[in-house]
Amino acid sequence: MKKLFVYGFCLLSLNLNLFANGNKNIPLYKDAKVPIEKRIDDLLSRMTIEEKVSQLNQYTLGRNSNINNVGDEVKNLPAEIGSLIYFNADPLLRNQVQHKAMEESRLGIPIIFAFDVIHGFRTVYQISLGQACSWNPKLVEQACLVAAQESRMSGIDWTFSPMIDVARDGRWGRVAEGYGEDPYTNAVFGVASVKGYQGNNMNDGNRVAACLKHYVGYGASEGGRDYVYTEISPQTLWDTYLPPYEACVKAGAATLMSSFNDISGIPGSANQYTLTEILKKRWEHDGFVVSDWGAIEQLRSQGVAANREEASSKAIIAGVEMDMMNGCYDKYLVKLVNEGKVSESRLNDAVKRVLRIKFSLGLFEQPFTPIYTEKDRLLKPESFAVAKK
Amino acid sequence: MPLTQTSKIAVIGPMAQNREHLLGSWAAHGSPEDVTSIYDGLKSEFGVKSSLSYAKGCDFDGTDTIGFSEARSVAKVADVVVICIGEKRGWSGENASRSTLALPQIQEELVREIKKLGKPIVLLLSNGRPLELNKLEPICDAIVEMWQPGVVGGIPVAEVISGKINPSGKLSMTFPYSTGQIPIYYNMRQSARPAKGKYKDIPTTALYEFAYGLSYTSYQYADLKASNSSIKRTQKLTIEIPVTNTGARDGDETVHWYISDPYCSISRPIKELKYFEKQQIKSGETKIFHFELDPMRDLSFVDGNGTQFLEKGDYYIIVKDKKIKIEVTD
Repeated sequence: MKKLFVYGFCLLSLNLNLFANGNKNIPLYKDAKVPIEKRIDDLLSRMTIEEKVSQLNQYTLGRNSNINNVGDEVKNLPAEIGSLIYFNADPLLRNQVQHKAMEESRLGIPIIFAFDVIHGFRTVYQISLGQACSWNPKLVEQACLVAAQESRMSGIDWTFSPMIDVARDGRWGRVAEGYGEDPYTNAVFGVASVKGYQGNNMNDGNRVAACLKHYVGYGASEGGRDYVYTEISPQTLWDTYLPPYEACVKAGAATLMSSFNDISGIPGSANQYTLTEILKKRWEHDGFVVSDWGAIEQLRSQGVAANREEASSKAIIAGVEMDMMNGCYDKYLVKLVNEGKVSESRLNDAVKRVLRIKFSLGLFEQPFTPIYTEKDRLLKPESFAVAKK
Repeated sequence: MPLTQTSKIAVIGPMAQNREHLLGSWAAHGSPEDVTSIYDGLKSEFGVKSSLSYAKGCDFDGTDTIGFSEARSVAKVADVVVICIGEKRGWSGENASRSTLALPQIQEELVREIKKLGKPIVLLLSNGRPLELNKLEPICDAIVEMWQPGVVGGIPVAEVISGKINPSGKLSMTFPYSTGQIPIYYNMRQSARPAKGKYKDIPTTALYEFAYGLSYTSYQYADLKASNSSIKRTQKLTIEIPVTNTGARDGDETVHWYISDPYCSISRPIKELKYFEKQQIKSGETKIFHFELDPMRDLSFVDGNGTQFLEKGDYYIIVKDKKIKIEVTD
């Protein structure tokens, strides 16, 4: 008995030693106990330029029902891709693709999955313009929590909401998505929405990252026509269009979306003043900016870029970190960095911002969405009750 | 409104039985099957006490008036007609601009047809933008704006119509008198000749202003009272206003607090919303609403570089038609 006991003890110590050695071999960035900023730096130091650029691209996955954005499902997704817009209503396909990212990419960086969850995921509630008429930000926060819970449990980490564009022309169709004509009202409900989506900790399984949009001035579209020029004086920019963004950035909004509109000559997605000088320097936003769908390549139709390569260069330098469905960064950014046209420090800054949100969402620890029955995640009676209020 | 003693209700219009359009433009994974239609909502709310009849009347657009006669015959035998019209979900949202805020003619025509019968009309609107209602407002007895409510569809609005819910919503966006008034919003900058420069052909004011909305009760606002009439730039201030529910129903009232700076180194908006608060006020009860004013946050302005300024001088704090003057000193 004594022998056996000793033997057992030895085995136990051996196991402990193995465990400790194993722990030492885990790269710093995979260790959840290490502060996020250290994990980011460690991971960044291991990445090639190609791997960095991959983090800055977003493609789509699954069923696309948005008639404006019809595109074939992207086949043969690279395992290193940074983000995917996910159109399915359950996490099965997401998890398959995430397995590929975690297991087939060299560094195992999880993909962040996004979707347009604007006024509810399955428990669709009233449009934002109507929500604001309640003058009840607490209720809007609850509704956004319902949306966050349904989304996260269905495989979505990140929603393209809230829209906080001050809108004063009802001819513009997107007035439905925002909180109306007043800067303060958009700020209050935007903050409520960010709190509902993100909570205090985006890592708790029921929360998603928010995305403020469309930065900035999109609501000023001339004549209410969509995607067009906006004439915004510096005065109006500051006293009307920026205040909701400033309030929501201060409330901790993880991301922003750069707008389609041309702001008095400089498009929102090539605007260094709004994206870098104001957002990153003055407001010290440490998350990232994603382009609106195709907004980088559209710098050509707006007449500020001769080709997609120049569009890529203008957008990344101005401060757009992620390319949503332009096919620009993935094609040109490595070349632009190698030729010194885009600095490596700008590339590193962009990648760090994206990684920061992935770490904050807990995606490195929990890359896969746990599987729940539809009844347990969607249209729950308590969720319906919130929508009814 | 509310319809408490109505035995026969005619529910008419292309939105009445529709479920898809109540979801709104970005419905994510929402499904029409999850939605309760307006008609079904009214039916479950009024099922026992009133009889409901239905006619579609017309489509959302087009010129086909063939359904008008059925609508007329259904309306003829009713005590009240609830007309359910508005916008398809694809009419707002991305890439969905419209040249006019008016609904297509066919929908306005349907309302005019029913009006000829002399029945009281409740106009129930589901839409994704402010609408131009100058032709409909004069011929309807009540207008209910439900926007696009999502899966709950017709349930809450039926409870508003029956009186179970006392509505407390107020607009977050101005409803212009007509599309030609755009841009029109409450916080415009001051005019050089405020009494002049009006349109010659239409009113210059909006049909429904920002923060407009009715309730089944009435509220009386007393005068504003400030804890101080003169403050230093760094000094905070409390302003209060007592609001009394003078009607028979309990209600929820939102008080909007605005400031104005009549004279400043730049021209500022006529008024600017700085705070709002919603409170329940029971019938006969008085509640006091407070605004804790922080001069730097609430009275300052930014210039075109984003630099914030707070100037000395007079400011007004405004609630509805009440205002009070505050002086800011060094």
